[in-house]
Amino acid sequence: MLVSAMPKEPMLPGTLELLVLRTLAIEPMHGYAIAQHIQKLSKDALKIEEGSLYPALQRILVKKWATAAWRESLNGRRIRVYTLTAAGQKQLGLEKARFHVLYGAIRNVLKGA
Amino acid sequence: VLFRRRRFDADLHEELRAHLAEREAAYLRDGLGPEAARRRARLDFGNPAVIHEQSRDVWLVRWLDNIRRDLAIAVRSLGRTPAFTLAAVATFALGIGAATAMFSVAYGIAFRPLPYQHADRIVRIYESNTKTNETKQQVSQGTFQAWREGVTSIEHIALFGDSGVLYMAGDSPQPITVRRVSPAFFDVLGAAPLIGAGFKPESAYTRFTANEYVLSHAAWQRLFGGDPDINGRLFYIREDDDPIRVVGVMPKDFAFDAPVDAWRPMIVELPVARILRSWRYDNVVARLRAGRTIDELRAELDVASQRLAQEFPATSAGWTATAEPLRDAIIGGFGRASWLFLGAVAAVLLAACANVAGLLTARALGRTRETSIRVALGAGRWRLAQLWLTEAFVLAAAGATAGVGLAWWLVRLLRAAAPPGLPRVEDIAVDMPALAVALVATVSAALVCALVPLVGTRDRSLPGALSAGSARSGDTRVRRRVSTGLVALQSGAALALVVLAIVFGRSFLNLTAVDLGWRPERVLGLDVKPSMPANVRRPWFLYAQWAERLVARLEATPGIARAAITTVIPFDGRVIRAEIARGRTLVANEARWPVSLNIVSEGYRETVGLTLRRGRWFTADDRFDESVLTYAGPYPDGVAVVSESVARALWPGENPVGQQFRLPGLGRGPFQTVVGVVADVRFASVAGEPALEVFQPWLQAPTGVPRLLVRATSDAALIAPAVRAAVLAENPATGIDRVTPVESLVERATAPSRLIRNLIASLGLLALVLAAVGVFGALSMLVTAGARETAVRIALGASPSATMWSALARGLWPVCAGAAGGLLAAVLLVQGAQSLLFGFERVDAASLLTGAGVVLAVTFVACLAPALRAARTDPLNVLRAE
Repeated sequence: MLVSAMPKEPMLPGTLELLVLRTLAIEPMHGYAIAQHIQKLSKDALKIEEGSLYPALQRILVKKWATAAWRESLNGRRIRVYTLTAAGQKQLGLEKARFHVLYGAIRNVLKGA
Repeated sequence: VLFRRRRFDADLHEELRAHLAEREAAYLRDGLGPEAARRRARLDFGNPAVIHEQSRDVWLVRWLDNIRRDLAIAVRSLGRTPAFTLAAVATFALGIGAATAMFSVAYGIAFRPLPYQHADRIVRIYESNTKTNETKQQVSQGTFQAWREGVTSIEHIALFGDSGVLYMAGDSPQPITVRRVSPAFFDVLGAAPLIGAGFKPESAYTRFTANEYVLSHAAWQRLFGGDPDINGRLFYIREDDDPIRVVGVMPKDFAFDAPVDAWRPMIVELPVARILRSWRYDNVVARLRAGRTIDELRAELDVASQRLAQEFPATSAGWTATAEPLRDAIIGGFGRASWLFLGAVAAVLLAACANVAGLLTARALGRTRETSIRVALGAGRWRLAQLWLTEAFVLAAAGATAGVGLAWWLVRLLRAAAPPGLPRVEDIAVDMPALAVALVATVSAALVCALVPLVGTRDRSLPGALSAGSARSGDTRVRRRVSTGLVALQSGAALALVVLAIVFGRSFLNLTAVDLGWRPERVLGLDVKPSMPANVRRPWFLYAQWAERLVARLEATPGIARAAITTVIPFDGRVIRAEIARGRTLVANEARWPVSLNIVSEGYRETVGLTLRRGRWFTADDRFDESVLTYAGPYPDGVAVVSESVARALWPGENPVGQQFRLPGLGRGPFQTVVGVVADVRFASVAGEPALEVFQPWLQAPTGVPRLLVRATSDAALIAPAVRAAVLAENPATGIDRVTPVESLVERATAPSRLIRNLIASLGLLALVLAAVGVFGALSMLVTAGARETAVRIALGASPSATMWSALARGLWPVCAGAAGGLLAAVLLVQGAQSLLFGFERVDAASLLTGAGVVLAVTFVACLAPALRAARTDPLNVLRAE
């Protein structure tokens, strides 16, 4: 029934939420800035599609990992800024740990080959 | 929710647009032209609508997930307690099923719109005589004409007569049932023919040119094979030289009153003849102008009646007009009965809800630990309520599904076994309105049942509940109070309905115990209309001869005990009214009595079973010869037999035999000598005083509208074919109509009463069962909850019998408390249903006491098992279990 919100580039499942949470941990920011940030930090290797970003943001809101509020940006635009909650902070830790376990496992498999 | 959803959409929309704008701005900074920048940004961004949709779905998924999870929890936890689940679902099914079925019945009869355009503007108008207390009588042409001319709130008004059977000319005479109606009849009902133009305006006809028929759809098919060129087709009726022209066919679904094959114009000739001012033999139906009310109509009719009484005192003095909506005319007493049904079924539904609420309360009590754990794990009050609500909804939905099925079945059963005389049976169905009511009933029942147990959760002291390890915390007391209230409510509702059922049962007994004064069993009644040669102007003597021969032929037929010609078939709704006056000479301002007139053949007394009190019955010698009956000779005095009421009214304290009276207005045989008196008979209705009945011998006053009464040796219905054969053997061109066992006509008169009794009794029984189950459940819960206390008491030396009695008392006291309210409700209900009751001024102590006794006895039995369980409490077991 529901269209999956995976990015078009192959990406490990759940990593988009991890990246968004990580980005929000730096400071509260709005959707466009989140996408720009991830792109910049990944040195343009990861390009976040809006089609994935917004459903992911909604999932984060549903799970109460972040809250959203309208603000005025420096250049006078009305932007919707996402702020990490305590639960989001905790979740970031969990996701990070999970990612490292997964990453390590994959690396081990690759090394063994 | 809607508001939140709109807000969500607006936020997301703005956010996406802002994002797009920023992207565009970035491309602009990168040095792209404005057009190119916008295109690139849009291309990168993808379809905003899809993004929007996907983002919203995230929330929907959560919502659906929650519901699914709650449903799963509810179903799982209900599945763990199959007995409870079954009891709750069954209770809901009975309550909702009864409510839906009863609503379908009440709605179909009393509330579903009639199948006419703006049916609320159609009224029936009657004449009532204030002097003789005759209400809602038929109407004379003179009065009708006055209404048609002088009442402005009427848009269309029409007369309609009784239907009669004619024979179509042809090799095999086809009977055709025809009703005379004013040409405006179809305008009144807002119906137009399917084929043809229908009648012309009344002014376009005279009595002699009104040979046009509008056919019913069924007659068009049956008599004319559905001929598509039917409009304008000519055919002939026996005994009539003028051809009949078909000017229309009504649609298939058009119906009014009893079904007929055709309508033909009834023309009021102006000025109205004096005799037609006194003959009140037709019916009136009218359509109000848009925006006019029936009260305005009534006011105008009053004025018209006064004017008529001044202008035509001889025929209109004392007569007033009575108007009522067509719907009321059709459903009669069932309008009020429908409200009663709805009230009763609401009580049953309430009892069912109380029952399930009680069960859920008991369940909540048993779940104190589970609840406490959920609270400890962070479930909010609202979340708990959601869970319980879901459970209640699952139960109610399952119950409602079964209930609607039950209702459908009940309604089918009722329609199949509908008593004769139940109006609008074909309109009773479980359809949209009933289903809507079922839905509302289900939702509200679920809400009530879920919220009542919540009452006890407020003071939950978490550590207490967890540590106590059993259901003894503060909310037990609250719950106990709730459950007491529920039991009281149920028993009150049950008691009210049981008393109502008793009262209606006794009312019906009163009704059937009435002595009719004659014996309807094994008597068959029918209309017979022999065709007489067209060249005889006054065929009365032929009718006399025909009747004698026919009766002789019938009585020679096996299976027939006695046969008689008459003018009135008892209880078929038609009577012949006349007025009589004492003595031979007209006196100014003399008293006149309204009587119903029966012109009968010699065998009549034995056929219907009249009891002769004084004098004699008619003999074969009570006859006039041909010259008298054809008006050729002088008219001698006739003889008559009267009922005791007539004798009492006209000649109080005198010997009625030998007295004389007149029938002013009814032409032939103006002077009658009373030769005998029969016991009072009820020929028109069971309730009320017997009418004044006058009998004349057929051979002295034969008429052109004979009816036949035949007493069978065994079953009236079985002789119908033989009677038919004999009638046709006597005269093959005889219209035969309304062949009915007379006993079923009498039953039809009491059928509404019987139906009301049966429905109320079923509801009473249902409420009683629900109350018993409720009391049983509540006391079982109390006994379980109080097991520790009981154990301690028994350990301290309380005897088993004392324990049992104290448990019984605890179970029964809420019943007694509810019973007080129930008795009061019963008194009020009976008061409201007064007009439906026969032989009851108000509810009597016997009915109240019987009802209370029944409810107490049943609930006592329901309490026995849990009370015995309390008495058998083994203190060691209980205390060890702690």
